[in-house]
Amino acid sequence: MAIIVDEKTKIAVVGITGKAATFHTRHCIDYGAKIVAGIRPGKGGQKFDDSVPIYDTAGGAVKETGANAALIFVPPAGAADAVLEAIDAAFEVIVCITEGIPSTDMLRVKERLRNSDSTLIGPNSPGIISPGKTKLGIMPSYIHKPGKVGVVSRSGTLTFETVLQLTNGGIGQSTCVGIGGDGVHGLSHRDVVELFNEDPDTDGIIMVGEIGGEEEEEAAEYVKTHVKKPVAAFIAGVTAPPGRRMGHAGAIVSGKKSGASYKIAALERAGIAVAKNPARIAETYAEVAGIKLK
Amino acid sequence: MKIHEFQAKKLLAAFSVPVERGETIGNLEEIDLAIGRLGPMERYAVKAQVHAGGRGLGHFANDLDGGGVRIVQSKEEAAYLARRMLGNRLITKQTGPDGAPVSAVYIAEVVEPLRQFYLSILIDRGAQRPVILASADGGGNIEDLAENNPKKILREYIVPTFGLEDFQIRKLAFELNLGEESLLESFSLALRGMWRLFWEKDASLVEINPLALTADGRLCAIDGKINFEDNGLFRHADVRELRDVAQEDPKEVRASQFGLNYVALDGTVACLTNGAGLAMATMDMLNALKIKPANFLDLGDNSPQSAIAEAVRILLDDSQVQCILVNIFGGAMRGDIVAGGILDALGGKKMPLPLVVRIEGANAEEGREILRGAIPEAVFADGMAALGDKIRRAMDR
Repeated sequence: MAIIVDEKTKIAVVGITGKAATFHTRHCIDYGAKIVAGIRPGKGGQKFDDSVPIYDTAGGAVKETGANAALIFVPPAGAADAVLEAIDAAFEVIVCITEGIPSTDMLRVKERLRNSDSTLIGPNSPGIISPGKTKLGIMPSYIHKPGKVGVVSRSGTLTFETVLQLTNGGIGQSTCVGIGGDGVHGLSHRDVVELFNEDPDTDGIIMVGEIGGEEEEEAAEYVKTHVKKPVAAFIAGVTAPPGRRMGHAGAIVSGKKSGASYKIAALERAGIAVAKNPARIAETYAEVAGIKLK
Repeated sequence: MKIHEFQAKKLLAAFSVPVERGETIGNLEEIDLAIGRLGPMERYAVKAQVHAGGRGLGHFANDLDGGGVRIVQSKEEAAYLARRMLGNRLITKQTGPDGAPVSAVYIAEVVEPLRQFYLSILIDRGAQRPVILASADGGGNIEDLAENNPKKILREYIVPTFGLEDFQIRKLAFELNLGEESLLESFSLALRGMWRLFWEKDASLVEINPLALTADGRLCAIDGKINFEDNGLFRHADVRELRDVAQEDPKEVRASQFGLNYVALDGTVACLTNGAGLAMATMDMLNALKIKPANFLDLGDNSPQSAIAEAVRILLDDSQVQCILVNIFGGAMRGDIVAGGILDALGGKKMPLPLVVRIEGANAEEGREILRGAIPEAVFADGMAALGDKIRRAMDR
């Protein structure tokens, strides 16, 4: 089993005709993802790569294809609107890859999400993959291996780094979720840790965090009281200068609490094994899980 | 994006927040005219405009003793200070040893506060909603107050799709002891203005500290700070015009023109990395090895090859740099594009510095192949641990 998405997930790609969307949609299809529709206003009736039907509206795609997950590749100015449309069309899962959406737009999205049954992943996310089952995102496929470790991360490239270390060590993954690098976003670290904790086929969890916000601390609180599975973590930005935005809109140390050392201390207090060296994330997990890397 | 105090005051005033009378001086010729426009006053506040806090306790690099915020009795003294401040550099605890250039001087009336309040609007990431922070203990450092006396800070969350409600303003006003009818009206006007400014202009922070209540019952923003969210700038040409690139590191300005997330640091190993997380982790790893990174760089997902070439040129032009580290994990970004960008930057010339390369992910082998062919002395690392080792060795050589 996996969390949030699996081989049955029927995916509609929003903005499917764009350059990046085209590239990544093909890779998702190659991986076995069920891409059942594209959404692009004004191009309804056409087909993507002669096979995937394109619809003008999200509602149209849902009605005609039964799609239940939206994968959004719309540029920043229109991305929040695309998420709102996906919520309106009652997609169960909405994955937003777009980087650079203004926070005020995302705050409006969050208010709509509060009154809906949709689950939002991202924005500014690499997406989500349940290895061997399906992929909704931009992660390189070859680094993944089906298995039982859940990975949740605010960073795309650090998720890839973590997954590669696991796979090279012979440890597979149940699902890898990139929750995104923006300050205002959908699923939180805590939400995903909770889903992994309740998933019978996930044996352990790796959480990859970074400076900014207090989500890692919230997840640590939950781990402390609810999680018996082994949990390892890495926090990026220990040496980041305060007050500077480090790439991600959400990665900024403002005050003591959002700094890396504060987070690491909170995680360790919750019994989470924190890797101090990014080259040793899988090793740290293997130690706490009591398994050997290959 | 940061702006100057005088720009923040202008914006606040445009959104009905009361500010003191003041004039901004951008060059020497304007000094007498500006002071003339202010008219005769008993006292003048003279404030150096730089993008850094701690101005009052700072000091100037040349020809002027004392701090960057001064109160003087005569227009002659004000003019003298303005002349010495303008074009000088102000060093504060936030600027680093070189200080920041004084781009402008703001001269204003001196407002005598009877009481001082703190007011700000920002996004509370925990609640995922905007929040108003307010305190009757304004004027000091808000972080210290939050640390030592958190109960003195009031929090009022705004449901952004509805906006700021009247009852919320009343609630804050009564708690701040500003509930009298005459005060409530001006407080309401000011707070509404702050909220509109925050929401309509995609600000990430609108802060007034202090908001003064004067003996004659007026409210006045004595100091204001507004930061804008970079992601919102594309739809606000008027805000983009407020950027003062003189306050930024020239390398960062150059990088930002190509959409690169670059932060200048003071070390010797230049980092060509993609993705904020991996870029930060690489920086942390170098520091752990006691090797100082020269920069943080997140190439971003959609950077074209031309932007990568510019990034490499920025790294190569940095005279502190002794070694170049490449750590790319392709997803949206691809290994071959990064390699192509490196070669474009070299423009057929020999790589002048040691190059240690780790490329993984999308089109990784293509990228390695391109570099192997063009830069025979490049060292390749397989994985993060090996990258650390090989950088160590390259630096020891």
